[in-house]
Amino acid sequence: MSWAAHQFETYAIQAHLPKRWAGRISYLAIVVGDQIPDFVAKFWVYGFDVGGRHYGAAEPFKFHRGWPGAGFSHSLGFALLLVGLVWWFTRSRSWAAGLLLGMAAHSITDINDSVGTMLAFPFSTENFSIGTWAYAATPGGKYLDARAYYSSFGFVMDALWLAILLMTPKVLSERYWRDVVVPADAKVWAWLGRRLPDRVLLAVYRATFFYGLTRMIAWTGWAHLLEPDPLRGWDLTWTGPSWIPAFELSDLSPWVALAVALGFATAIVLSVGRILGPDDDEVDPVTLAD
Amino acid sequence: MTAGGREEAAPLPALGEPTGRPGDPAWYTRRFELVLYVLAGVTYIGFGVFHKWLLNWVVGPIWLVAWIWAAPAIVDRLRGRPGGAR
Repeated sequence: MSWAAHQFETYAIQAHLPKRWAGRISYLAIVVGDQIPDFVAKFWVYGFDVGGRHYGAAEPFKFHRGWPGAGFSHSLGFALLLVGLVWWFTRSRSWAAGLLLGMAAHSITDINDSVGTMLAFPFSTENFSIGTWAYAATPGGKYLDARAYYSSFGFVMDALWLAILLMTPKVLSERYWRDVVVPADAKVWAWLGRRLPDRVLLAVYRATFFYGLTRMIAWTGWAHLLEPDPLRGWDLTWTGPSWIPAFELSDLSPWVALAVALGFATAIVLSVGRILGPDDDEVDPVTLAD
Repeated sequence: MTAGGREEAAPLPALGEPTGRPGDPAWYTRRFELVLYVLAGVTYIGFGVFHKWLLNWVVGPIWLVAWIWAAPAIVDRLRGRPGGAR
């Protein structure tokens, strides 16, 4: 699984939306969509303790990404089903498109771990993975998972998404928020604006970035500075770190996974285009904020 | 237009100038706000590495929002001028 990458990718998507979509897709929906796949599954992956007894999945990777299990949450089928329901109830194009983009981003990013995601569900229950780092969630909680992730290419993935985001720092600016983000979701921001001052609304917009950056620093600092483990250090090798077993659910070639992910991304882009429909008022998501 | 309905056309104020946003105290500058963001980050990381239950997607965003929301009102209270910040 990915950690801060899921926070950074929401802003990266927002900043790099095609001109014809800028100001028409809800950023809040992208964030919610990006949270949904793990929101459905994650609580049972690490589990919880009550009265000295542990409740949770015996094999977290199978529950999280497999079938039977909650693996459907990282799929095109689930994303389209949920977006269909949102559209049915709200008729909001900006929320339907945002949710779809957020859920797709999450599912595609997670093909990087050794378990991968069931992108083609319900047509197939095959997991697609390129095995960039080891999937390391265990019933023992998130500590070992965090240490493994922030000792592997997972850290690099977080840093990469952060770099992509910081290539367009305007996406975090007040001006960008006012001119691009708020108009795309005017009703929600106006509702919030009647209850909270603007500085707080701006903080709400930036809060996902704040959380991503601080959790990345905190977990990396804990794993390598505060409580380093000489047997569980940095290992930037493919499907690393080698000091933990890399769980897998499929033996498909990474190239097949890449091809399917590309097809998945294409289907999402076409679907978002269909949801938004044609528009005459093209705006540039970055230059608009100049 | 802002979330609260204010028309927006003027450039943003300089770092040392008041933000001019509705709901912000007159003394609340962009520099002060930047300091608040940094303090929120430093405290969250500081507490988070020792109390890891704080490092989750609910507490993290709320931590920042709480700092930005509450700090101006707290400063106003300390200065004996409550009610400046919304």
